[in-house]
Amino acid sequence: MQETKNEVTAAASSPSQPMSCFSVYVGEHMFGIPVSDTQCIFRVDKITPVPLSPRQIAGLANLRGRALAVVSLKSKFDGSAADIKPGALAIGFQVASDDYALVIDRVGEVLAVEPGQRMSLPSHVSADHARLIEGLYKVGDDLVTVLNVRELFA
Amino acid sequence: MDELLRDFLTEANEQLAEAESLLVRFERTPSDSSLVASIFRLVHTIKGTSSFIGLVRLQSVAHCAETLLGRMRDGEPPTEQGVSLVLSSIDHIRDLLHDIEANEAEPEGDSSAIIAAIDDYLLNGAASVQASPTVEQAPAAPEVLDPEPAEPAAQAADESAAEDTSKAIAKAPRAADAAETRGNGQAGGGETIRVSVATLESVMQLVSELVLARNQLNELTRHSDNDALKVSLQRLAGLTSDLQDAVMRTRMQPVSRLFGSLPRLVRELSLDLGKKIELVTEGGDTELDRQLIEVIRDPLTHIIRNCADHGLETAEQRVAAGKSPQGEIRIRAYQEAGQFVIEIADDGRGVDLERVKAKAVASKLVREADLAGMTDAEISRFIFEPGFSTAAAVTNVSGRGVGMDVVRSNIESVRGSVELATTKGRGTRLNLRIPLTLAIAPALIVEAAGQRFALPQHSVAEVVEARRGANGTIRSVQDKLVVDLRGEVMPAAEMPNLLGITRPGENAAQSELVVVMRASTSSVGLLVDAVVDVQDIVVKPLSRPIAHLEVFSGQTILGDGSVLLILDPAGIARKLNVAAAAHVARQRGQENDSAALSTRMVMFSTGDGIEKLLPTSIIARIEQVKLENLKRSEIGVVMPYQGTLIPVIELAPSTHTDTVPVIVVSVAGVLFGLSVMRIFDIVEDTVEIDVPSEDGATLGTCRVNGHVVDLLDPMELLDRARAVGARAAVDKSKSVLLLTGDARAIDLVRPLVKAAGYHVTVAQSATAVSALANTQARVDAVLLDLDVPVPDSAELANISEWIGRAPVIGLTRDGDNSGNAGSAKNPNVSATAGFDRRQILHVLKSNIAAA
Repeated sequence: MQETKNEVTAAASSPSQPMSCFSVYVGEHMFGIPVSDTQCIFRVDKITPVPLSPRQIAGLANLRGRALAVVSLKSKFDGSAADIKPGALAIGFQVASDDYALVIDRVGEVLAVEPGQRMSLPSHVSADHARLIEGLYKVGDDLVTVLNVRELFA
Repeated sequence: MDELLRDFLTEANEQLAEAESLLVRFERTPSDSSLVASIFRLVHTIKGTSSFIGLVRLQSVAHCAETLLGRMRDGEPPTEQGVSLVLSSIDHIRDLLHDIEANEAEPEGDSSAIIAAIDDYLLNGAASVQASPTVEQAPAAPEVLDPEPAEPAAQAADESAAEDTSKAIAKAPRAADAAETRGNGQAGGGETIRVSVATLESVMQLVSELVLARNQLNELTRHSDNDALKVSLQRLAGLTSDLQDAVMRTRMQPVSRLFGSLPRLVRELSLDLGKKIELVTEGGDTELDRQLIEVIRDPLTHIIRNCADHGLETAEQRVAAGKSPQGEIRIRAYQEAGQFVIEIADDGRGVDLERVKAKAVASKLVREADLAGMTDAEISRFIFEPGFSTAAAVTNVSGRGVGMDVVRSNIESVRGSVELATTKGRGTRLNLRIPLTLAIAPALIVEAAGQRFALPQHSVAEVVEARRGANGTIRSVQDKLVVDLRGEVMPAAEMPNLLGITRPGENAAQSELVVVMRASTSSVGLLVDAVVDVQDIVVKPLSRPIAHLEVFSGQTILGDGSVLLILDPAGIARKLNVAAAAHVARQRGQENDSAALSTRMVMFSTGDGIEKLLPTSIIARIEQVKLENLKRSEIGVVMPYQGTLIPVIELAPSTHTDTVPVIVVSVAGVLFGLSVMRIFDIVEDTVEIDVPSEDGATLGTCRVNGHVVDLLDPMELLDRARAVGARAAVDKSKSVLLLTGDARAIDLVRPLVKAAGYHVTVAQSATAVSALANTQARVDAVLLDLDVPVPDSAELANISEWIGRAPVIGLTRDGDNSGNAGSAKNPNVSATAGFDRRQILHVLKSNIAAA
């Protein structure tokens, strides 16, 4: 388990310095999440569903005595109902002193993202999705979609 | 040192330091008016508090400084002389504080020099001060221990207005000085340190996690055989609980903090209203979570205003009513059954229930026809409805009809309750009950729609098993679900519907559980599948993305690590749209006269052949208690209940079952348990006593729903329960020796006599008797079984020396229960009693009293 004590503070802006990103996978899709935004990576044990809640909230999970609102990255992008199995991998965030867990399929390596690698977002990406994306970066041969964590839980 | 004074000193020193730094900034940027406003407020606070504590000299200096600051706040440009004067006065105040800290009193002398200087400045402007030498004298007044403080002010006065730099230099040593003074002060009163609430919260959070970890460890090692591990785990468990308690205590503060400001309030009210009022406060050292102290501050102030304005009469009226001219407001704080209670009582005219009725009808809160069926207590609750005021004239103190409903909603927002009791002409008493801490609340864990939820226990009135259908308790009216409970019809909700969960293909169960919840003024029935558990939960606010869901009030994490949502009765009521129909729910199903007089009662048996009744209104709860939890302590039988021990009166003989039904009764604010044999039912009927009882324990015998039953006397039970409590203080209770050869008699008589408050020793054999005689323990009365005597009763002759003049009461089954002295069977017997519960106690009581 990796843990840092970070809070997502300001809305992410284009980095002027190189930043480290976790590469995370949902199915075959890869996303980048700034390491500085994350608190920890853990496995979700048991999820308490929250009736009447917004669709992307899968429920509440307990992480060491704190209740985290669990959001599925998959349903965030494809709009499907969150279906999360016990033991699913999640990244913990703190946004505006609220705790969240973002469920993903797996975590890859840490990438160094340079400001110079930033590319403009293809124009046919829908506005709803574009809002969740901080930027598109060309790292080596990969195209990395770096997420805007603050918008993910807004 | 007085706690109030100590707090004041700490705070005032901080406020001074802040004011000083702000003032320096203000001088640099005079355009920033918010700075001077802040300084003004700080000095004003010091003035207010010092006046309250009676520090006259401090107050007068602060007053001057405040006046000066007021001018600056109102737009007068800050001249350096003006700022210097304020700084000098701040220095002067600090010196005074220093003296007060050392001597617990204001120093001799006066502060006229600095006051005169400021007055002079205010009258004549800057020029005159420069010419005046008084400023130089001011800080050098005799009480100043350190001559150095004279320097900066003198310097400042002497310098020309332009020389900012020298001013700054002059300031520097002063600041160092100030720091030193504060440092010394804290070393002197060093028993407390100030810790930010956030720090405490984070410690609390860590402890909660520690408790969770401990619970998990306990679970893992439950089946382990490793004793060494278990012993250290037990130690860890104990330490964790202690730590939890200790951390909880750090959040607690004595309510004297709250009481501190009340004398002034009452003094002002007394002057405003022209009434003589005496304030009596008790229990100031009772502790309460600091957050809750703030929550009750406003309600308490409001209630006191009401007491003074509406409750108490004028001196003339009081004298005319035969009371002392001085009215009394008595405030008492205490802890009871895991709750904090604050009682506000006045000895005034009491609430005029007729006027409340008229007003309630006029404001369409109730229909006139329904009033007849309401008890005084129900009527007086209208006072807590929004917009309700019975004051004939609106005064500036109270009577605008905003208030008592706010009092109620404030208290209910922290899961508390308000009770009002009033007697015409004698006064009114309000009890505010609130949990000791906000963080932890007892809750019902229910299962519904395939999920567990927590329901705060304070909002649960009862849980009943109910059937669906035309004749059942759960019915539908116009497609809406209602619960018809003993004639009261209330809206009901099925959890899956309420929460929008579909359970395809599942048939509704034949019988279900209805949780009846109180939501402010209405009741709501919630259909659940099961009540899984009752436990204390740590209430946490909802996560932001789900905070808008009104049916939930919070979330919690149970010991097993699962997250539960806490249901909010008020939110559910709103969702069902029943708030508007609140008073319809009050309407009784049957609207005839007898319904109005009928009482709801619990019917149970104690094993003596006749069923017993107690009104449900005094019953707090019915519990199945494990026998091992009924502890026989020195002071009688007690059992744990909501974190405390309550006395238990054993009405039924001991049984061989594992659990015993215990009715928890609350009479006159005292909680106690009654252990009974079996609980039958809740009945509702008019009670007319056919055969009044002469004995205290029952009010009489009556016929209810075709049964012949004894109606128990709650007051008598209360006396007995109090006896259990009182015995803690009077350690030598009356001791009764029971001599019988009949095991059944022991089972019947011993618990009875014991429950009545006596210490009982039983001897079944001659050897036991002589063994007891050897101990020479004190005996106040002997109960002697005449029909089944102790084998070889000749021994009795030997005990007369031991028991001394203690009366011997014969017990007989043959109907010779006249209670007369002497008996053919045994000449030692001074009285006899039949084998009857009441008689035994009666004869015992009168004979012990006579002895």
